[in-house]
Amino acid sequence: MTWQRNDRELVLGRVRAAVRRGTSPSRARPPADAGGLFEVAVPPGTPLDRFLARFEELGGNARVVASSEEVAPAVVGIARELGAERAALWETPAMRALGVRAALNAAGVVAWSPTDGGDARQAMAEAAVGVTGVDAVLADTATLILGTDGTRPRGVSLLPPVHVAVIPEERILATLAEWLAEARAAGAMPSAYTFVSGPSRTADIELTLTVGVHGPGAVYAVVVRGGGSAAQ
Amino acid sequence: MKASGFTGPREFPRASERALHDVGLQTALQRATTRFRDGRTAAIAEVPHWEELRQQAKAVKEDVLAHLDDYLEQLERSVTAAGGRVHWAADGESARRIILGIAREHGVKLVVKSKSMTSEEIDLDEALERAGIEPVETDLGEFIVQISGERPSHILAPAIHKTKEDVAALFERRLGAPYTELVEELTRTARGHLREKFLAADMGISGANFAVAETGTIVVVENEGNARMSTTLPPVHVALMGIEKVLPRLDDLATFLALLPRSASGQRMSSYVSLITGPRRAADVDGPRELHLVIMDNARSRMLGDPELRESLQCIRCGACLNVCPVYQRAGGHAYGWVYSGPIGAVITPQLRGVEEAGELPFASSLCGACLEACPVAIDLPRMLLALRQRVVQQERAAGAPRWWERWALAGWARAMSSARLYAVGARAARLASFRGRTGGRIHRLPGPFRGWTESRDFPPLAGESFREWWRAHRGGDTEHEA
Ligand code: SF4
Repeated sequence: MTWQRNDRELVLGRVRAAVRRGTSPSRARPPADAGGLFEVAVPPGTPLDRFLARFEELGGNARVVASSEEVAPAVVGIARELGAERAALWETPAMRALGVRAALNAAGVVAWSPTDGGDARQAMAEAAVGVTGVDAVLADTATLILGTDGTRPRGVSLLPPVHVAVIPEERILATLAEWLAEARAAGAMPSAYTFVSGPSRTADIELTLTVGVHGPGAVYAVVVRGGGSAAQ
Repeated sequence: MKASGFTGPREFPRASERALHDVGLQTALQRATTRFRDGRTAAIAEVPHWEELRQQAKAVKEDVLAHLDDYLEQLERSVTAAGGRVHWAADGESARRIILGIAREHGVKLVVKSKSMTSEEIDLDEALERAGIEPVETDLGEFIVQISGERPSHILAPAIHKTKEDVAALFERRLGAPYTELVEELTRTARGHLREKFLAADMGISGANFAVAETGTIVVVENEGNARMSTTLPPVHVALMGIEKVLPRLDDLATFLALLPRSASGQRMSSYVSLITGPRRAADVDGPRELHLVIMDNARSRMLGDPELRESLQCIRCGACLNVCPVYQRAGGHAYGWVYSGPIGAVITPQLRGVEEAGELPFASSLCGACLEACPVAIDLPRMLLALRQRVVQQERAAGAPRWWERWALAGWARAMSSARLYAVGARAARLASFRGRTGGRIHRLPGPFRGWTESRDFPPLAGESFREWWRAHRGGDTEHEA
């Protein structure tokens, strides 16, 4: 391992010398939160309206429900439409409270979530639908932000061909800057945050847009109107 | 073909001539660059403070470069605190040795890779293969060029030079898939093939678009989900980054993620952005058990210490300067002969590979300024191209081998490429010119200042013609006389 040590000093030594040599006119670093910098021209309406407009432009499929009781039936409805036999789910307290898992099982869809244990990867890879909550949503880019931990496997939004995200309206933020400030204030980062904006896509063959190349080819949002306590 | 699969930057004059007369390639290039350009234009039109955002990004990058040693050490501490391991590589050889060492330690047989120009820069795939490890490029475009034994031709659309018929034949031959020209079917074939690789791989290798010093977060931006797969499924994740990729604060992502996808593909946000902080935690269900970050210099500290060229380290590899460049639009990525193409390639390749090998590239530009205008970090590429031209000429004069006529001819031709009017005039002239000055289908002698060039290179006739077109239009005179 000595060579690694050497390279560390070598690289940092070179950088140190270069930093001094190549001084460019330094300018004061502007505050990160320069007011209004991240504004974009947006469709009219509330953050929810804007999210819905952008999400649909990306090919997302959104349903808005009035209360948290309607979430489980909405998810079951999507699974039925798709003819899904297996699903994989997050298992956060909020998600449990919504009763999605029980509803899916009752509808004949085999639902896996982390407490089931077993081969998690295989369970997620075999699922036709992955159901997650969100940490937050960015309205202006229709970006779903997902964290990870023991109840929130990364694979649920990655391996199944369809991703369904349950979104409490109050978690719809306007800009990334807002969320970053929150995340920074929250302290330690999880091993991964994933931003999902629409389905997996490629245009690598003759620039023809094709969805579902590696990740999910379809993304659904079930948005719970303000006040309903939904999954995070 | 060299081991690396690159023709080398010195081939630019010839390779770009060939490209110019490849009708299929010209169509693909026009389509791709137009699409990306239009997408970018529409996307930035929605951002009222675009110019301020660029200046903000530039200020952040200037700060990063002015204190790079501090930020790198901070990054090392944060990544380590999050449970990752940091390795330092002075050059490509060292980076390869480190990565092969990690692979050996884990008995790795199969590696899934997500698109990384930095790994292309150090020929990592070849090194893995030599060590008996199978590297699989998983970005669809990269996968296509990999199994066809080629190199990417565009930062964003690596296989843009191939038609769906090419891909259909390739998948039939290499994957045993039934021939189909349906792009969706072809994509499904690749998905199935690569999904097995993701699930079986022992190691995932990614680049890093950004690395946040304060949190130790590695940021990977993509559209397909292959980078998510590569950084989630295999038990070991290795991220390779150049020293310039560090950003001070998490907040800085708001600026750079507002600029990058819009500049690259005209998207408001890429389909996926992964913020990776350390390996999987004890309680996590999935994610790699080990995270290694390889921080590589490979000539970057030299650029850093060069006041005239330091700015080239501010690049975020969005590709916007390629799409707006009249020379790239005609020549395509392969003509540049190495990993980095377009205006940014013409600036950094001579710095990374040396003037001897890549001295042609700074002259392969019309200096029209479109790249500077398009760059999300407002990098003054024309200024650096000029500075590099001076250095090339000085260096070669000092070495007693001035090839400046040749350079000058290339620069003139590049200018002609960028002018629709000159081009049209040249094309008309070509019909006449094609009857003159040829013997046996080859042009052996070009007039005046181009003689030096034809003395050392045997020109295919069409190649000669496009120089003649330019010469004619530029001088308005007969091209047949001896100077
Ligand atoms: S130089 Fe600027 S425009 Fe070109 S790839 Fe880099 S960041 Fe993009």
